[in-house]
Amino acid sequence: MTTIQILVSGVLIGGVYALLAVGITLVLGVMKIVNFAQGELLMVGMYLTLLLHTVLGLHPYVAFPIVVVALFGLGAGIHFGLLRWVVDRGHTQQIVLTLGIGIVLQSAALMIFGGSFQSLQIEPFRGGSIVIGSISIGTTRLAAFVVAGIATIALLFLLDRTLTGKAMRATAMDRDAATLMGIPVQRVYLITMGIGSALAGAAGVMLMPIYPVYPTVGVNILLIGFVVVVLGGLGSVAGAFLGGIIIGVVEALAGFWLGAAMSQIVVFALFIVILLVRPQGILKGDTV
Amino acid sequence: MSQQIVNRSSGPIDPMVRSRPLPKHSLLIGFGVVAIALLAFVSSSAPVFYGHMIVMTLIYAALATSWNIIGGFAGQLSLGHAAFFGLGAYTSSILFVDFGISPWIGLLIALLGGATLGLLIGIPTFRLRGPYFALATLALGIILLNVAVHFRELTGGHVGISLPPTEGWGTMTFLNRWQYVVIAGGYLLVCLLISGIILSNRFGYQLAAVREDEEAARALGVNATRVKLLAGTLSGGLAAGIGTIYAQYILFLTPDSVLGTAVSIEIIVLAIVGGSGKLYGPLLGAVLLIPAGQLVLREFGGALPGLHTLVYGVIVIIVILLFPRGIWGMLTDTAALINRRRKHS
Amino acid sequence: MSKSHFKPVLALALMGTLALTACASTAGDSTSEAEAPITIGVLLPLTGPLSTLGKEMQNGYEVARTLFNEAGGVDGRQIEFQVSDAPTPEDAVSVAGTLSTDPDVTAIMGSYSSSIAIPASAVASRNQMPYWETGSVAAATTDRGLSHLYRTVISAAMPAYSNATQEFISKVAAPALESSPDELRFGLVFEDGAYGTSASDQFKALAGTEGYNLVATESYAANTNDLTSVIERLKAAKIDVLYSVPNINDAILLTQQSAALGFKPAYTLGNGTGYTSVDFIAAVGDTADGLVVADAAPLNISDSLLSADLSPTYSEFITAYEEQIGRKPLTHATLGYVGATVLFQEVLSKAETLDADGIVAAAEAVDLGPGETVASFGVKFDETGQNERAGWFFMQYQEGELVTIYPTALASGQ
Repeated sequence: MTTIQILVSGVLIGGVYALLAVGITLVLGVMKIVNFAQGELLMVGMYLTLLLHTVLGLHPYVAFPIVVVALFGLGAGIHFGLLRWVVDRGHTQQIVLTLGIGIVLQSAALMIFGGSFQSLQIEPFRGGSIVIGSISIGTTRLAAFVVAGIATIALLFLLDRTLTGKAMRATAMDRDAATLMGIPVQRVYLITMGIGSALAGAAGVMLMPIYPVYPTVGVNILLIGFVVVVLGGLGSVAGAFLGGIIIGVVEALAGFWLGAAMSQIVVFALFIVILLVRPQGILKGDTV
Repeated sequence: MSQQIVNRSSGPIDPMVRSRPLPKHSLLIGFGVVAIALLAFVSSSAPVFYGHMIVMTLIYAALATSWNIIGGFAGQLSLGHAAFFGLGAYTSSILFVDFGISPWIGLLIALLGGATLGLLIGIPTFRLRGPYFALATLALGIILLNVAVHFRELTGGHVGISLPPTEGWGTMTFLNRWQYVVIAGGYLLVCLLISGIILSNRFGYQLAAVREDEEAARALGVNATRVKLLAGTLSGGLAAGIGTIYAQYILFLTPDSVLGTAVSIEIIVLAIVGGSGKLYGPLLGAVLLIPAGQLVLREFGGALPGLHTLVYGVIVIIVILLFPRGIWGMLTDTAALINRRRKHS
Repeated sequence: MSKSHFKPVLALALMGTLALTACASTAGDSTSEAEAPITIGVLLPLTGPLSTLGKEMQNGYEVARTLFNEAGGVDGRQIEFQVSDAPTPEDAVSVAGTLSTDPDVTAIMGSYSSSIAIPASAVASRNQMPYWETGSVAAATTDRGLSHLYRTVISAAMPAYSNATQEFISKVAAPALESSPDELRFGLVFEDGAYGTSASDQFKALAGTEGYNLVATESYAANTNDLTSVIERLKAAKIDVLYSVPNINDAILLTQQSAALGFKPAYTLGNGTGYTSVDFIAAVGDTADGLVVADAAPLNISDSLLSADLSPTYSEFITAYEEQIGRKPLTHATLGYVGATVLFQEVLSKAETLDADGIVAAAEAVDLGPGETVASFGVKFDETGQNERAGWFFMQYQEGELVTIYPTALASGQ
């Protein structure tokens, strides 16, 4: 029974990893940029949720659309003002630029909110859980998982069925060819970065009732996000979702069997093995 | 990568440089020794804050210069260079504290250890291209950090290792700072010299060829894997050595302070801002950013927490956007332009 | 040739600029008059992950300074702080170096965390600057026998530290469970940082000597975001008493996830820091009720329990703190206040000269009995600079407030 509980918890936290990783993988697939600021975008999403709650008294799940739209705007703005200029450059420059953006967002959060750990508690949800047999499912975690699933399906639908999505996929496959076909590549990039950022915002909203926020909260989650992205296959949205759940489960099981201190080593060792043995990931990176 | 990244001094066709490598390097040694003497004198008379600033600048300059061999010359973005730095710091410190072995011998062992790690990591990872390599090195750094946290009997875990403050040249521990300036400055000079020799040799052209287009380089008969492995070994060894000097200066290490991802990121930022792939680029990055960060921290640290990292981040963004070849690249471009103008007129 | 000259020359010019900047600022501005204020260097982590409790300690310092200056200062001379932020060990070395060579600074006070205290105090002692430690509990801080270091707060290596825990378990915890310590199943959970590991090592040693049945020992990284596996392992071990050493965010997570997963040991004994922070109380509210927390200063005690000569009194301290900060002090603020007040009243006011030797002599002479500080413990330094009279206290969350329950002499509200 305990193992099932661990599995359930792993799957649920995997949903949060997936939500972050889907955003990273989308940007990577379409723009070929490894976004090191994604963790900080999640952090901004968390603070925004907190702010909307403390200032306007909004329930985090009510604030969800506001945060998602705001983060879309922030992501699009980051592309328009900054990333646009490095799309043609090597990945070294792109990585360092996103690192710089991350540092700026982190410092700004520290200056505005201070370094303390701030939590948001919504009464019906505090410590709330659904108990089935001896398995307990945290309500806030379940909500995060459901949102991650819906977001992934919605994104896959967008990529598969809409004109915008088709333009994104075309750009991902061959930018030059897409340009020749008359696809406005820069606008596709703008939308991609916006969606990637909005996904980080969604993850932030769902994480806020689960976990206290502080300026460097995104760093650790981001690193796990990279593991998930590589596992799922760079650029594969469905792979990122699946990878998120796998990593969540691996982390939980390794923590239970070997102790929590070893689970980080196991996760990152698994990461290296995947990179060396199957760098294309579990699903080939062609969904985007 | 595009043509503009090609480094002039490392460019594949400049036979003139090859024919007279000696005067160039002796000039570097001469100027270097004078500069170190000057800095050592300043650090012995200036307030501690500035002495500390000089030592930290030299340490980070050496670290970024060692990164530059693999990250700049060979164009392989290593996001886990703290692994080498930390390995060196821990190696000599454990040998010193637990076995009483002098840090000077520890430094040599650290060099060997770092070089071996560089080689061992290189064998599997140099097959990876682009962001895969960057992410693999990032993960390696995190694994080493976790190992240091986990194996507490050896490393003390997060409690860290506190080194004995026994003064003297034999223990590489000093009350004053000028000795650290001499040691770290000398080490930096060695790193620059090795980098300079690499750039003016066949090895340097091979690295540049691999960086610009690995397939083309292979087609021309360059053994790309061997060249990258050699660069990784040198880079890892040199980064580990400066770890020892850092440990002897701060006299206290924790996994986060020497193996943290923040250290790896700092190294890259210094090199890229200064100009990666250029001999003096990382040095310039360290000279500009380390004192700037410390000055802002001192002036506003208590009152405006976060400002010093904000300034840092803004500088990084500006340099990447405006001077893609780094500040050194910008300066040499400008100088070349002025030279050309003068010749024309 | 001109081209090959260019780069080394430019490099030299850069180094020269660096040197000149340093030279230019060498000119000091030290003026000293009889009525000039006394400057104390404050070295605390005010940014980064350690900042929450670093700030709490700074609050304690500021209140101590205000009260002391209002009472007239040192013969009319006011105390001034030179506050420096030291978020990492590296910054601690830099800041300690600057403060300890500044001719205006009389002593350095700090530093809450042992990862800051250890490197900073080494630098200060090398420069023969008195270093007044009010927060770090790690044994290594005073173990090194530094010449100018004094620590007002307890060291984890002191017998008093383990004895208090042992007595509390046998006299309070075990009777509450209608059992005896050797029949109980103990579990230990800690964050694997410097604080968690050193505190848990002490508990492991105690469990060894006392023959506690320690059935589970779990550690995790403080920045984790899911503790399910840790909690499930503890659950599987069927423990009666949980000894828990978390940092702040993981204290919140552990409490919330334990509730969600239905993990409720018969008795939970927490170790300071994470459990005695404002962030923790704000996050968990009255979910924490019943939780017992051990820390280096007692909270919510009353004037009658302390010496009648104590001035300012405990209630004056609380009132001043509430006025200045806007809420009640927690342990780290209390520890900061006590440390700073002892430095001002017993050392600076009584020192013959305010140089390093005078301060060392005055510090060696400090002799405060029990009840002569607002934290109830006395102050007398042993040869390593450790306050051998520092204490270790047990509090319980009752309606969202920490109430001291042990030593029983201090237990005001049962």
